[in-house]
Amino acid sequence: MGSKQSVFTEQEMDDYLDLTFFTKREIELCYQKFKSLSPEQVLKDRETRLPMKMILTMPELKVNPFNDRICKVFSSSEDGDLTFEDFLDMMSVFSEDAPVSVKAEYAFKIFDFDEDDMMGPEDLEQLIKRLLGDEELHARDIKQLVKNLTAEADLDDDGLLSFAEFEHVVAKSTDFVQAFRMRL
Amino acid sequence: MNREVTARKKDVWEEANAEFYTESYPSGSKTPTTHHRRPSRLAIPLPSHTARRGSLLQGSRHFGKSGHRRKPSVTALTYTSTMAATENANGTTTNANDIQVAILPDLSEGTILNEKKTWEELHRIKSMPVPMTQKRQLKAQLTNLPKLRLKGWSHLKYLVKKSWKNVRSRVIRSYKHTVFLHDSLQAIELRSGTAIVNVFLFIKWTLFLNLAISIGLIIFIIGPYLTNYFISDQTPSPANATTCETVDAYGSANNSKPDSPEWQRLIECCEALYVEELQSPNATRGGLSTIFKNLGWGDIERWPISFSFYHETTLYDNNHTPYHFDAMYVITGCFIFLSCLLLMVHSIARGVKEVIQLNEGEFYKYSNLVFAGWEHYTNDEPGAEFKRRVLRKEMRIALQTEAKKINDLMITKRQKLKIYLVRLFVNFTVVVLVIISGVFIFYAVEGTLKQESKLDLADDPTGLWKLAIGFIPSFVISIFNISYPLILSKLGKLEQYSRQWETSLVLIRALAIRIYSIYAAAYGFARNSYCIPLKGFCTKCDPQHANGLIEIPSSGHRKLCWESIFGLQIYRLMIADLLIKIVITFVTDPLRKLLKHCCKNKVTEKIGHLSFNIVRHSLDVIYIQTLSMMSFFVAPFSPLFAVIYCFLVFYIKKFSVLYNCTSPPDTFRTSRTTITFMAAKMISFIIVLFTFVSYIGFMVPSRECGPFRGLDSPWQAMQMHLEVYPKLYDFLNRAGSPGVAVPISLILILLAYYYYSVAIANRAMVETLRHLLILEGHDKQYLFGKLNSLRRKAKPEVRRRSVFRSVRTKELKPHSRKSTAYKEYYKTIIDEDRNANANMQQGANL
Repeated sequence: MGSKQSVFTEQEMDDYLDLTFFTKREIELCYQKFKSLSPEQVLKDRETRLPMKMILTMPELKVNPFNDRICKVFSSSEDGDLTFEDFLDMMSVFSEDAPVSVKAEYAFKIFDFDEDDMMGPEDLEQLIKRLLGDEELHARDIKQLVKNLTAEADLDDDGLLSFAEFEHVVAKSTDFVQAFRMRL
Repeated sequence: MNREVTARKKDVWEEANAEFYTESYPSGSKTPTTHHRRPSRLAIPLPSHTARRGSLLQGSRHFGKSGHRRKPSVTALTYTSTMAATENANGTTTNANDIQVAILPDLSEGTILNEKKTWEELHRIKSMPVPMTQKRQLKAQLTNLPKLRLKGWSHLKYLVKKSWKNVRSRVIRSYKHTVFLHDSLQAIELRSGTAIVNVFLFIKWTLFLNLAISIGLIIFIIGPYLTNYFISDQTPSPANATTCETVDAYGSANNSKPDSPEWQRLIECCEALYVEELQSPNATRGGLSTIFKNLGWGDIERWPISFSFYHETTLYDNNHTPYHFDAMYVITGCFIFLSCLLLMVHSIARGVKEVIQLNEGEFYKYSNLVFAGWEHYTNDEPGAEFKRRVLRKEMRIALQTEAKKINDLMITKRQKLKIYLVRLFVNFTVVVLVIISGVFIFYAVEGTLKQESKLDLADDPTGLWKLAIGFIPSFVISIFNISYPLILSKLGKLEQYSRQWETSLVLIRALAIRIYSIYAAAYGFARNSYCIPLKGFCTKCDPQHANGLIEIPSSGHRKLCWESIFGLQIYRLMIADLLIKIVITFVTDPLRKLLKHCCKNKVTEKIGHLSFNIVRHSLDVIYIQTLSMMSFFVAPFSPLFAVIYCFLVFYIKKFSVLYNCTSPPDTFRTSRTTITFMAAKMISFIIVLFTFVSYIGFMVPSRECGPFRGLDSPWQAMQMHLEVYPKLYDFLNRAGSPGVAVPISLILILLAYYYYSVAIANRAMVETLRHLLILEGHDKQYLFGKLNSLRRKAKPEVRRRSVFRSVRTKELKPHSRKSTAYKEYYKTIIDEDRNANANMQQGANL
């Protein structure tokens, strides 16, 4: 469509189209966004792995209380550094077209701070604390919130939220899909 | 014998248990600290914890829109995946492998995928939660598989489906990016979140609704009339006014039929009377007419915004084909109402779903608050701060509500009585307030109308004074509309209802007062301008129809062309409302904010506390919609006015959100408010419907202007033309009056939808529980597998089998029919059995 030559080969573009929820234009936009994080490095080598610190300069992630978790979860080297493809994966999951199941999957990974595949009270407490940031809420209140949350979502009463339970409540939540979104 | 077996089994179990524990602890040592803290939890990678990536992914599709389409083949594949993990059974599962098994069709069964299936699988890869490199591998694997080509009809269907999906996503995307007000909505969302942006979406929705109504009106009413007006150059030809000097004493048309010559003559005379009235220097009309005249724009009553402009009953084009304008007018009105009804049903139906979620315990308040708490699209610090404050507030409210619930249970009788008394008092106060506002509005309208008719041109040559007086009722109404919700929300706090009830009550009461104020104004207007006229007279009232409720105007005459005056009043109301909003947003609120910043004490702090009141702003929109729907029949341009109003108000409120209101809003998250809005919309719509039906069916139109001159009701125009088609006429008569049939069908549709939604909600729950059960089953399988391998190491083969079989038949039978995977599992076990038997036989033979 455009007169500008695409930076991707036809095969790459084809793969990206098939494997993300994006259109051609949006993939290019993604690339622009990724490039703007560190223009020289990306121009030199498109496959480069940008360190987490650099990724976190992106405005959405800068103010995001879960930014380090998001980077870790999407990083293929599992240390928070992202390649362009990791970045594309991330934006695809956060796009509007991604179904709630994928979003729930990644949300679970993000919120599972101790990475034991279950969301325990510690995870929930940390989650609430991160949400509040520097706003104050009494420790007792946070404990109570965690308790209520577990009582509400824990179907098998083991005190922990498994993915199935998490997915169930999230699928019922009217706000989740709306909230788990980023713009290009 | 039996006892021996059980005893032996017990031994085996315990033995295995010990081994099991010692082995499994070190294996899951990813984060040892957490496990030490929870000794009750085993660190075993149970399938239900780890294997979900292949399994529940499919199950979750059932929550989506295509919820009721079951695909047995897909579920079978899913189970295979978890089973693969189970049979691995060496403690560590590699997720990627599971998924590969999950996604790739089982080729051993000899099925080769066709193109369509491949395409669908490719779509499934897209929504897999794995990194790109793995997805790419999967895709490569999938594309390298041999596939069948589709032929004939199914090929066509596949192609159509594929291209339709592409086109649809492309259209939706381009629509999203180019859509009207998109940038503003985005800015608001980034700054203040989804709950507030919903108010703006509501404004946008109202704007488009009114635009649609306007287009309908332009196509069927305004357009044809205007073209006819300019082409045929039909100027209203008044009858000789002199022959109708004493038109109201003209009694000869009494009891004659509408198409009789006497009646025709009466109508002509009435028209003449109206023309004379328009031309007279000391007209009793509003200030706008005088201003229009002074500006040289002619009579406002002869502008298309006025009902009196639409004069002809039948239009003719060049070929003299008739266009029954009066009937079309009624049909268009009814059509618009029916379409709005459908829209209402649609939006209510969506609301019903949420009501069900709430009432059937399907709404998870805390999960919604915490898991959907952060809006990830937030991209600047002020927005983030705002959202943190909102979250904190909502968390506290949620906890308070919970605490209040417990409190309510422990309350003493005396406290209960006190609360009831307070509630009674509040309700009483609300009623008093309502009466006060009603009286005020009524007298404002009456006084204004009297003043307007008293002032003649000599006193007020510019008409400005008259104009100012004319706006008084509108301003009174607007001021009540703004101040009352504030008072109501303060009163509502006294009542100690739950938070949600409180919000709903405030909304419903405020809405009731708004609608009530419109009615008070309309009543005040009707008292002075409308009555059922005597037969054979233009404006003289029939005292027979007067009773306690409907009194005839004190002059004994109704106003000339009252519809047109009423329509102009509605325009005025809209304009007054808009003006007040502009003043508040651009003058008062910034001043308040300034006050808060310049001197810091408690009073200024309180005055300067500006939060975006979602309830009030949504009410504004419902109010304008009510006005527009109520009046489009007598003021065909009012929907277009409403469009302009919505457009301006959108930007006014945007300014208010972005620059004035920095405190977190005083309401619930998105989901909670919609229910109340639905109720509010519903109430206003029913009232508008009631008004419309009573106007169309029972009010006597003006005899001096408009297309329904001389008829007993606008509906009669329809009837007259329908008599040509007796069958249709008969049917319509039998179907009953629209006032009865429409609400009943509406209620029926809603009821049906309610039960349908309940069924859907339950099915989703069942689906989840089913998955949990299956996962439990897989857990068991996994543990048995592990047990098995341990036993294989320790014990001779024959004994292992006997134990296993006994357990197997007891525990696993219920699931066996459900999944092919289990069948396979059985097959392997049975094969093993056979082999062992064969070995034993061989041994015996030897």
